[in-house]
Amino acid sequence: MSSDAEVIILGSGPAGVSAAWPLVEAGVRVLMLDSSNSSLPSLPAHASRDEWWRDGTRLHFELGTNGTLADGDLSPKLLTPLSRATLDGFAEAVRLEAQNYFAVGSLAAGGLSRIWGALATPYVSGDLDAWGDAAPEMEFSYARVARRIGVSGEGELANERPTILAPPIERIARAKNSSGVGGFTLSRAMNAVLTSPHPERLACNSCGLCLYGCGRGSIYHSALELPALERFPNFTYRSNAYVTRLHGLEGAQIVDSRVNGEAYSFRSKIVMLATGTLMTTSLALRRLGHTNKRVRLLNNPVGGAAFIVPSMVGKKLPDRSFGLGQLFYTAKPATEVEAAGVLYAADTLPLASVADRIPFTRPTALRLARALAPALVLATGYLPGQFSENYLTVADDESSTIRIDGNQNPDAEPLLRRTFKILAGELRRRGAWPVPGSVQMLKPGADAHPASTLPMRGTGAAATTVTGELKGTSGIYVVDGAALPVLSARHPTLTIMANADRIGRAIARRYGGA
Amino acid sequence: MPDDRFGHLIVTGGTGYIGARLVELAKEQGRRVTLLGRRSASSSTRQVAWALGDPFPQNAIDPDLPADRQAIVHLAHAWDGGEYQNVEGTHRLFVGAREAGLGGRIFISSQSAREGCLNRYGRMKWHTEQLLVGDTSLRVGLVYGGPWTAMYGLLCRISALPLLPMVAPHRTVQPIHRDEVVQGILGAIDKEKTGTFALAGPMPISFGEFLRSLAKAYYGRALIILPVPLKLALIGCDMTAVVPLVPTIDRERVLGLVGTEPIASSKDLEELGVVVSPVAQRLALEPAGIRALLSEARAFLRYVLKKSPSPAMLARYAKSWPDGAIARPHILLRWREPLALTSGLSLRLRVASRIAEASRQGEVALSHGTRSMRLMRLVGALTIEAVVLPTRLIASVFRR
Repeated sequence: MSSDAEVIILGSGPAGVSAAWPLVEAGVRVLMLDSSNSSLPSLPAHASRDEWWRDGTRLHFELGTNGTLADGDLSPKLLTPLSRATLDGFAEAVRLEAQNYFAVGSLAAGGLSRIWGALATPYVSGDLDAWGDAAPEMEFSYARVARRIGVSGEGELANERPTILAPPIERIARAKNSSGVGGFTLSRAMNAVLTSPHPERLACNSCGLCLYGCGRGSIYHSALELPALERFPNFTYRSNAYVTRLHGLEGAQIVDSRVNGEAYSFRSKIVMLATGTLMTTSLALRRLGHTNKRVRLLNNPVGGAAFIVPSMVGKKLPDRSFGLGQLFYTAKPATEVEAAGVLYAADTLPLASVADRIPFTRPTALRLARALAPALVLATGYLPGQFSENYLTVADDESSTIRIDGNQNPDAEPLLRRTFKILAGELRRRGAWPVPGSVQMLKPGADAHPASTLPMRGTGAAATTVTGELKGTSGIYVVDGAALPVLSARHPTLTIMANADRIGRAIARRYGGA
Repeated sequence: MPDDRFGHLIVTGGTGYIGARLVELAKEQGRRVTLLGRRSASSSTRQVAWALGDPFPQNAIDPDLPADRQAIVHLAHAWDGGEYQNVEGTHRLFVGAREAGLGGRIFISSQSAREGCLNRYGRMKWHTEQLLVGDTSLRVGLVYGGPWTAMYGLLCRISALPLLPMVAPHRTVQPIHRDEVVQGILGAIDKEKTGTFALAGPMPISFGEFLRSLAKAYYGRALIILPVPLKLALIGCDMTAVVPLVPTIDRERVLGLVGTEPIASSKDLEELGVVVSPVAQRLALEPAGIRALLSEARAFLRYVLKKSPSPAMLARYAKSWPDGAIARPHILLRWREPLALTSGLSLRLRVASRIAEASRQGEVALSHGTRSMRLMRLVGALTIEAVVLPTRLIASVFRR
């Protein structure tokens, strides 16, 4: 077994790709493995929503060609053919047993970024304190990542023009008379979406089909960067390699895997774990022998609420639209607690998500939902990870089952309700009214932000150093969400990418050009 | 075809309900087939004249293949023949086949094969089994699927009745699809299994339940079963023979159903390499099941859309329900749609709306007219909601 590369990166999600860039640019020989083994469904490439509506084959993009459709209680985002294919097989492969926790993961190239909401918010200074002396390095990495992926919206990191706003959202954004109550801030959401063409991606054409996957590559996902990485002679990418176990041998790291279904071991000095928090935790805990012992798993407690701009009920749906988060807000439901969330327009969502909550007969519910769609604004609300109380255990037997017990702090629900109350007060001033009874609390894990099982600078047995090195080993670095030292209410993906870039740069400085 | 496979099947009863499918599948797999029986001009399969009671015809053997790579499958049963013809006739056939050196000798027996069985058929099958030496006997359960003939055809027709008088509806049956039976026969031959095997569904279900599944899958409606004492049923059977214009029901059939005892089949099915699918899933794939599901799709989509759905929409609806149609009336839906959005019927209507919405037809229906026209129509629809609410409430209470 010869050395396969100087660094092996496990996973091709945003963390893996972000860690790869500085290493590859510094001339380090990098091998990236992921477990993708099937192609994802084709994505819509319609020029406008009008073209979409007139397309007789739209049914297949929206609903897929087969499979059941009766699980309408899930978020519409998780029901598209693209989402189903992206999530397919993960839970079985890693042997996930979740209690009161909605666990998702992906075996696809690009991982969960294939279906993410593309919200690209950096952490603010209070949260970055958890990085200690490395905080300035994080600021530097945020800017590097934002340049690489392209960020539209409003904010320091934004380098693309904003996308268009749906009419009810535009109404909310235009009114400037913020009350300032509850520490409320509102701004155009920063999204990893291109509004100008890049070499390998097209600009957003406001087709509004974001939910079904962007056929133009305007919405960032990390697999879009693989072709550019593969042009470097010192970068190799291998799909269909499912990593089963890590161990050390004579100072080197051995990665046991199944390549095309057959056992194969890779070897290198350094291994970077970027397989997504759940799988990374499983690999790391088994490597440490820290099995059958629980570790804390953070997630963002999350809820949702609906608002309506009455004057827009019954209007024609706009021909141009944008299906991702449009406005970003923060609020302080208590001193020292910052909640955050996003406002979406409902005009690009399937009506079923609204109609399925209306107890009229189906013909009326469908028509009522359609009348509400152009006027409806949906809000998410997230709390910091400290309000989650989930525990994860990896079994030490052959099955290596990942068991998650989900729970959250009793304060989480009142804080979220208070957040929506602050939001409602603010939106009322801006012409949008809360829909009675629409506030709902989602199950732990529904945020899909599992993190911090192996926190950097953590003091427990399962932790990592400030450069992400797994404590008790040498040469294993955790670069994905598992290493986050803190989980802010602001979406973590951009921070995970910046952190991976920062660790990648640190390793490149140490081993690069050897 | 690999050399160790059986390349030639000699089949009695090869034009019957199970036999026809066996012959068809064996030929598809590239095996040669010879039918033993009365000559029929219509068949394209090689035939050798034979009747139950005759010795094994030596000319049935294919001279191109070694005899031990050939098999006989005996499906024929003389319903109007006596004990002697069936039992002795089978015995004679198998002695001849054994002497001719045939490698596979399969006797199709019945789940009702028992010494003290109520009907003659079961007793005869049992007696026949006692005379077999080193042969294979497959005790077949209640076979369904395929053309509406034999017992299955009768059950399909009677499950169309709104009310069914029935003997011992709680008596269990072990349904197995015709294709699964054929798979079991071929499995027994190729795996060279000898002895007695149960070729019946692994889970006994009540006979009434099976008929209700048929009614649901094929006619999309509930079947009401009225239990009838056996004596009364037998008198009824005798009457069907004298009353004109009514199909005659043989008392043998009735006794056969009453006389069946459950048998453990899981291990045998595994040995024969047969996977028995749930009845509902199989019924949904039968032509009548597909027709019923498409008719449900048309009714539900038309209900939500108020327009005719396209074939693609019907197909998508059908694909989302692997268990087939449900027993719900499709008339006056608006007045009886359940209030609970999670009931079986509601889930189907939600899927229908989801499909309607994602179609071009749906978009036209939903965006039609000016804003004020759409709002006016909505006000009209909301008025109707108020009118139908009481009957929907009543329907919801009665549904569960």
